[in-house]
Amino acid sequence: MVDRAGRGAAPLSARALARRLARAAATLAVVFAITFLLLHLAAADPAERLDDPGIPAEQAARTRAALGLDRPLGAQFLATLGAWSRGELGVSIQHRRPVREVLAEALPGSLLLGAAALLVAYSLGPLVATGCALLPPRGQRRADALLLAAATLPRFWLGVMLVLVFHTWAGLLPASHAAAPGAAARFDLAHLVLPALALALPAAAAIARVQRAAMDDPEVEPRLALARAAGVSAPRALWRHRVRPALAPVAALAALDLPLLVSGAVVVESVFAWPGAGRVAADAVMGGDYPLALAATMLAAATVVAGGVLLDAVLPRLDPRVREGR
Amino acid sequence: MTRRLPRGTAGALALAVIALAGPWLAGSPAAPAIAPAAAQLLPPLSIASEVPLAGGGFARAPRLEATPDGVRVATAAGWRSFPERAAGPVVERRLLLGTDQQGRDLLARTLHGARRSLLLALLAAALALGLGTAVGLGRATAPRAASLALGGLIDGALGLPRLLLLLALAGALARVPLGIALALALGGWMETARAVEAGARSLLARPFVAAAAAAGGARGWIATRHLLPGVLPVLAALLPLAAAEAVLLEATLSFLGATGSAGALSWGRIIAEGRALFPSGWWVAAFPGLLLALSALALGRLAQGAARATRGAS
Repeated sequence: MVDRAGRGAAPLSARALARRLARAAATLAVVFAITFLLLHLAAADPAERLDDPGIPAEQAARTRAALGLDRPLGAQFLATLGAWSRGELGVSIQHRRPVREVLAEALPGSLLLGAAALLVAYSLGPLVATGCALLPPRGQRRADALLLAAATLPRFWLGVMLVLVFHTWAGLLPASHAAAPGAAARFDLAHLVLPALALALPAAAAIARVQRAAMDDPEVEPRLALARAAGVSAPRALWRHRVRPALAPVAALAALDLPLLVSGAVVVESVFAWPGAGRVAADAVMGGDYPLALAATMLAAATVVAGGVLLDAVLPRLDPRVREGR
Repeated sequence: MTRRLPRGTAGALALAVIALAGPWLAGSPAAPAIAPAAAQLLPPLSIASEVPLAGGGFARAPRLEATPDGVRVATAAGWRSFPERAAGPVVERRLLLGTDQQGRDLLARTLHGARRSLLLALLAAALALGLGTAVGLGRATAPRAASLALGGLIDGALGLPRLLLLLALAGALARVPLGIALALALGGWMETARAVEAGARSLLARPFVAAAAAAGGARGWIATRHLLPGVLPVLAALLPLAAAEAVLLEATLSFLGATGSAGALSWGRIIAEGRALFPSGWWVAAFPGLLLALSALALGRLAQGAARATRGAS
């Protein structure tokens, strides 16, 4: 058993991978349908806002027809599906520009912010977890309580408080990225620090908690002893039985955090007026901008689903216990 | 033998007291009826004089006095007289958290907001757990096709980023009373469904369930009589966790302005107002957020304690 656990069998057979990808595609189809339905049920119907008395009924009807909102829901769904299959994502109602353009413009900002946050979170989290393990038991309990507090911090409030302390009081860092409308977004380190921290700190605490729980596994000791008795060298045994199994849940968390790259930062982007896809998606959903909201949501969902597939592909390599057939 | 309560019970009880009794303990969350500018943005711990008015409402200012013909308020431009008569004596009160931009007592607003935020979260968590349990049990016991369809629904709902799903749901349910609780429930049942399904499947392998099936028990009967009681401990541990999530997400939604009903008081809304006040009036955003963070933490600790207790019991 001990020996088999170390052998690098193929983590996911081609057939299993194909099955997993088919499931991912089905998931995206369900997401498409759910999103379309919800967006069209939303009270933030642009045509409804056109019904306000300031706008002539005739003009409202024309806009409705132009947007295709006067047709039955089923017909609209099929039309949207058809357009998407031809690669046409439509024109954003709010921005009056092609959806593809709006998203392509917002994506670099999101990728930068998400990458910075993931980098900070996944270097800080394991570091903190390892540091906690070196503390005396009482200090460990206190550290665990602090980590839980940090992991449950509301991100939007953390963002507001970071602005208060580092911008309003200390005057060290800029608070928001509010560029002049129409001006090309500029990115620099000073603007990146606070939003990245607001995203990364709760994530780092969550990572540290997961890793601490994994390293605490009481079943590890007997496995270690057995491996040593079977003649496995000490560093090898430690890696195989304590470190590597603890990496699996952290990797699982990383796969779940992947959407941070594209849209996980919805709230933080709003707090800091960061030009990213998360804010574009949120504004589109709240503003009833169907074409943009649908595309932005599908983009975000694709990262969620990709994270899941990646996790299923990588996890068996890290943790032999989840390999197929066990 | 007395059973020890799970860790985190005290914090959760404190939250319940705040939600239920808070609005009575605190004064009125309303703005003063006259000269609100005199009372605006008083910092935490400041002392203000208050007097009830005969015409309803009250007056609040750092310095004010009642005279037979009305109330005199010290404003930045000197003393100003108002014709409204006092309906009681002038009392001095220490405003622990200060006031906001309209001269409203922030502590009163925070405590009134607590009831809405916490009760909504609890309702949402209970609804999410009920929905998740139904889907989870359904998936474990239904025929293969239905089970697959439910699985696809779970995957699809989990495939959407949580906040975008909630924003869309909140928009779709904006006109429904308590729509926000419903939206939070419809956006948060999936983990429960997964956990209940796993619990139910492990129960299905046990002899007493197999015996019930062999004796001709219907699927629904087995699900409600044999599986549901078996997964109750799982649900008990999930409830505080779901409530913690709901508290945070409700505040996030109202911070983003996605909760409709403009008048309703909630922590997220107060924080959004406070953010707009920067650089002055920092306390308006800081303290409701602190209470929000502490609530989420208390519920999180209770969830941890409950999970440990159910693990120990089984």
